[in-house]
Amino acid sequence: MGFIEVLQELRWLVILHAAAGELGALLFLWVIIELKNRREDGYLRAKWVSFSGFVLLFISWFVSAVYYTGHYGNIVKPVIKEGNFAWVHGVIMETKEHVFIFIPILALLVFIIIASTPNWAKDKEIPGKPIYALSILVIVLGFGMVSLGYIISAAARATLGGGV
Amino acid sequence: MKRIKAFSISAITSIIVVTLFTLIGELAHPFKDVLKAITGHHWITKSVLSVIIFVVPGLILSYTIKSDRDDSGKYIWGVVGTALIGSIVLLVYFIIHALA
Repeated sequence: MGFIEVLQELRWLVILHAAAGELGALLFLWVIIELKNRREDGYLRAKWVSFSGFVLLFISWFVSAVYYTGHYGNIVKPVIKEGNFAWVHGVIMETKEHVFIFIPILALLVFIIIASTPNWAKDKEIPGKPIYALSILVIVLGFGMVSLGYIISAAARATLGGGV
Repeated sequence: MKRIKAFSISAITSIIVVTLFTLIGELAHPFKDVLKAITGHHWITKSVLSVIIFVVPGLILSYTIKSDRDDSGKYIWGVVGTALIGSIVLLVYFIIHALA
């Protein structure tokens, strides 16, 4: 079976990884908006939206583990490393795979922080800025992973002569 | 607030361990082989380790740490800073490694 056929079979794995990751990261934008409003109903939404974001990012993480350990190293990595874009594996993929480990941990921490502050709507002394910053970091790292993933896919396609 | 402080400390520790284990594994391949031998893949080992380091000390510290309401924001900022620095350190290392 050639590389393209394998990639076609695995496309849903990659799509699930990217879609869960993007949606998970995006949910933290919703979390920030709800927290900023400091309302009781908004607090409850922020709590469960942050939990949903964590679950989606964990799914993305788990799917990436299946793809990365089972397929990337055997199929995609050799293609990229033998072409003109070998640096994409050495720099982009290596950075992506390790920074990715941080994201579900950060997402779970946001949920734990929100769950630990039930008086969010009433108590103005609970610090907002660091919680917003942590949520923004989840979004930035999440979409950073999307960008790096695009570069990796583009490098594989370009090496195979399929354009970008 | 105790829980925020506890899990922020464990998150910082988890990020530092993943970053250090990655760098040590790249510089000393026998260490990377040890990580690989544990679960079958160095990345899986680091991932599992990151969760254990975040959850277990976080839970223990939640019950043992001293309550300090005013400091919780500082600890969250510490997580943000550590994650940013860890990401930059890894990126810079892999750029230098690719150029060498």
